[in-house]
Amino acid sequence: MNQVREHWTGRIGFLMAAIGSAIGLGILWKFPYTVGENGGGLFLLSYFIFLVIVGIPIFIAEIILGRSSQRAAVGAYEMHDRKGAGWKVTGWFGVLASFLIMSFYSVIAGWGMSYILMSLNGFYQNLSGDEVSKAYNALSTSGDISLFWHFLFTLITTAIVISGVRKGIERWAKIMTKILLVLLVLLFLYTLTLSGFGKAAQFIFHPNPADFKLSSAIEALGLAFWTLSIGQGIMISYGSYMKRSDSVVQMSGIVAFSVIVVAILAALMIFPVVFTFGLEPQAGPGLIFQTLPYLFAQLPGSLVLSTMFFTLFVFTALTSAIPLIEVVATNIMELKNISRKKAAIMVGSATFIFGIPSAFANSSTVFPDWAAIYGMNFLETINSLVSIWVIPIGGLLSAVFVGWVMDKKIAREEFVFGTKLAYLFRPWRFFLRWIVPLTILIIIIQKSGLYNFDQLLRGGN
Amino acid sequence: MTQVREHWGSRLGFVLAAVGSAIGLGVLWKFPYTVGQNGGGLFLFSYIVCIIIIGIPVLIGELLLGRHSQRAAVGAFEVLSPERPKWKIAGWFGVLSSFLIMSFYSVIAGWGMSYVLMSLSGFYQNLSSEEISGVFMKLSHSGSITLFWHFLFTLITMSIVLSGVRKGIEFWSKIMTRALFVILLGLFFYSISMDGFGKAAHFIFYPDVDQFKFSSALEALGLAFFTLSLGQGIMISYGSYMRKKENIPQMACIIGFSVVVVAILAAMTIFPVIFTFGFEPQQGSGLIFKTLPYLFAQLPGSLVISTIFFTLFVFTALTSAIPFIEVVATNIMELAHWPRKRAVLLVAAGTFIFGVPSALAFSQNLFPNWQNIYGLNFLDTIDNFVSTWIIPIGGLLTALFIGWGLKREISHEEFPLGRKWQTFFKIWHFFMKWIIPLTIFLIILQKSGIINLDGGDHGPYPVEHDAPGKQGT
Repeated sequence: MNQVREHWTGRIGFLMAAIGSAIGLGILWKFPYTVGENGGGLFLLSYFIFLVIVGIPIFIAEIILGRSSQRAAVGAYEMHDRKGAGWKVTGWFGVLASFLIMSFYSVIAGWGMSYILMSLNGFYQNLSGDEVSKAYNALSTSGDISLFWHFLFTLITTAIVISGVRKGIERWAKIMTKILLVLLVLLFLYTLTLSGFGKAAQFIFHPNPADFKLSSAIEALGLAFWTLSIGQGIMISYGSYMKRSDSVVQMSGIVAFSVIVVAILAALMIFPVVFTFGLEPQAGPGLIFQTLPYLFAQLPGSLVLSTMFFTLFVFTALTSAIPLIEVVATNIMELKNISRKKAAIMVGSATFIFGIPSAFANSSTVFPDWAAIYGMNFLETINSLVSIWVIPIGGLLSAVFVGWVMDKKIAREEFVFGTKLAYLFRPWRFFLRWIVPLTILIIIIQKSGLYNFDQLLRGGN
Repeated sequence: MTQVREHWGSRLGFVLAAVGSAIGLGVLWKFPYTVGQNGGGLFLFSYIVCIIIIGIPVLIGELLLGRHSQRAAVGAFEVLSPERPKWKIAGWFGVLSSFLIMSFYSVIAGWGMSYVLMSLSGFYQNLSSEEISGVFMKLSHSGSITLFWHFLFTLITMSIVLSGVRKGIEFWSKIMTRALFVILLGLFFYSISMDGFGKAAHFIFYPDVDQFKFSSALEALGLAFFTLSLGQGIMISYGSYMRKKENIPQMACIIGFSVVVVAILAAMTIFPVIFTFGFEPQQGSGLIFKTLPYLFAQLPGSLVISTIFFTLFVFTALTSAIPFIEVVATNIMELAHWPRKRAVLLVAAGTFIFGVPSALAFSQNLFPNWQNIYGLNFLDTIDNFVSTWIIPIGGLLTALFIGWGLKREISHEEFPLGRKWQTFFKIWHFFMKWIIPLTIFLIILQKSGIINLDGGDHGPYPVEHDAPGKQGT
């Protein structure tokens, strides 16, 4: 490349972008429920442990790959693959994951934008629970309106990516991630005052050994994995914009720690609302788009509350969507030598088009027989394909590559630079070579339904 | 051409690309059945003989046409026979067959991709056999979903060809053909452990004299021809990327041998599954998309087996589809002096559009009366047309050109020096002149139903209505 690569202006820029990327919708709508259902405090503890022994090592590995090569995923693998054994395919795996996620992510985020508008209108303030559910059904089965929001969200994300690393990604990530944190804290302070707070705290923190099975531990492992945006080539790109003076280990630790704090805050913000009204804990779109709006409408200051919450939702989605387009676009930029603008527009259009069947998934107008053939609608099919297969396999390969294939000297150099934690290099490499691949294999086996590890204990009794 | 022609990066790259091209869906879903129905061991023996006396010689011929001329099919005939430009019609036959095959191949391969996804989600693990058949009916009758996969497969093939010979075709063929071998071996070892393995071995290897008729010998000949990707201009293109120092006859033998091994392995992988459950041997899409998924679901580790099998299926299709687009595109590139990118985009768009009626063949949204008029649906019509007429005629013309039209010195030059190879050259040349054109002519007569060499106790070659993609590229 003849151009000089753009870098983050400083550490805060990188941290905000990386944290914003890592905190995704899963933290809002999956994490709280999963914690509660899998033994509360025990689950949290195991999540924390896995974050340290699995998540952070891969996170570090991906950043090292990017920073040492100064390339996006495909180029990074190609550069360090000294024997030309075709490892760059792993980079393509990350690109594929990012592309597929963006295609349906923006449909869901689009619904979130629609809810901001609905909140501002005070639309559902006088509606019953059923009527609020109906509004969501009408929205999600209305192909054209879903498509409109899908388009708008893709457009905004693409526009930010077009402006480049500093002026686009860093600037907006700084603003949005900060607002996101502020909104989260404000909403948390509000829910502290609700009567259901104690019950929510109990649900999330109280260690309940009966609910904590072997599969729960694997669930925690999976969460540790997904909540750090690894296996998608994102951290390779973000690492490549990092200056060499920054400590990779420290940065990774800060990102992981922030993710935990935010995840717990999110859980403690959402569930008090649910418990205050005596409802059962839930997860997914039903929680966000059907239950919460109804409950917000019952609370004082509902218009503000609801608008704030869905702004938080959209910002969460947007800071995670930016790197998805960025990863695909920068790989194309480097490989085809085209400008950032052209690449970003191409990628934005492609994810928009590939997302159309997802936008129509609930109305069944595009592929009416899809659910009958694949057992779930288009959006869910892509989602489960990515989260069960593409991301874990991508993460597994990146760990194996950095642990076994990449030059140890380069890895050490990058690891040691600018840090006092150089003594962690050996444990890190050990985890990357042995523990990480093993645990990811276990995740894939359990999640795909190949084998249920709960049988292991039951068989032993 | 002003540019320097791109060549294979390594000998291994060429062999893997050529073998990947030769091993097509026919090897998976037609070969095992045909062997068993035509006298097992005897048929297998005659197939191997035909590979040696017909397949490999024609393969050598096509490779040397390409390497000597450094052109794709049409240009090769033009350059090598400037005084009789009519020969280039043989090149056009190859281009036409590649184009037509790609158009429906990607529909079938697309279903294969859909089955990878279905296997990954463990979707059909608890379904009954009828329900699984129902799912395939739904898929093949859903025009929009079939089109979606058809588009995706064409897109993937196109992106590989876009990147050029080394970075595209060679790079991906190396990965996929290797993966294909590994997967096949893995599945084969699994099949060995099954009850039906002995029965399958019997079905495929036991020489059953009663079943072996004269038409069986011709069938073996046809298979030998189809399973080496001959008559489609592919090996002319692939030969043109070869360097002068490579030994063409040797390469051709390696390719021929690998294809035979893979074909037998595939047969010994698929049929044990069927015999273990006491099913009748079958072929075609019914075997792959209805019977096998049901049987896989009954086996331990079904998710892995089924996913791996359909990945094998897709890789097989992809390594064969790459040269289809490549052949058509490189001919256009050379004749119209276009850049690779433009030619490839145009060809891919062309095969996609021409494949739309094939993708909608089962849902009958398009051409609803096709079947009433032609007896087969659109996809099967094209398949039948190509494999009965276009490929054999293209092959016949190519063989005639190499035997009669091409100057003996030119082909002599492409053979390596040394007494052994010189003797080999004489035999080869004799075969190209007399034996091969004659046998291809016989294949055409028998396959098209013009004559029946068995003496009338069987009708003309039966057409399986549920078996798209019968040809064995």
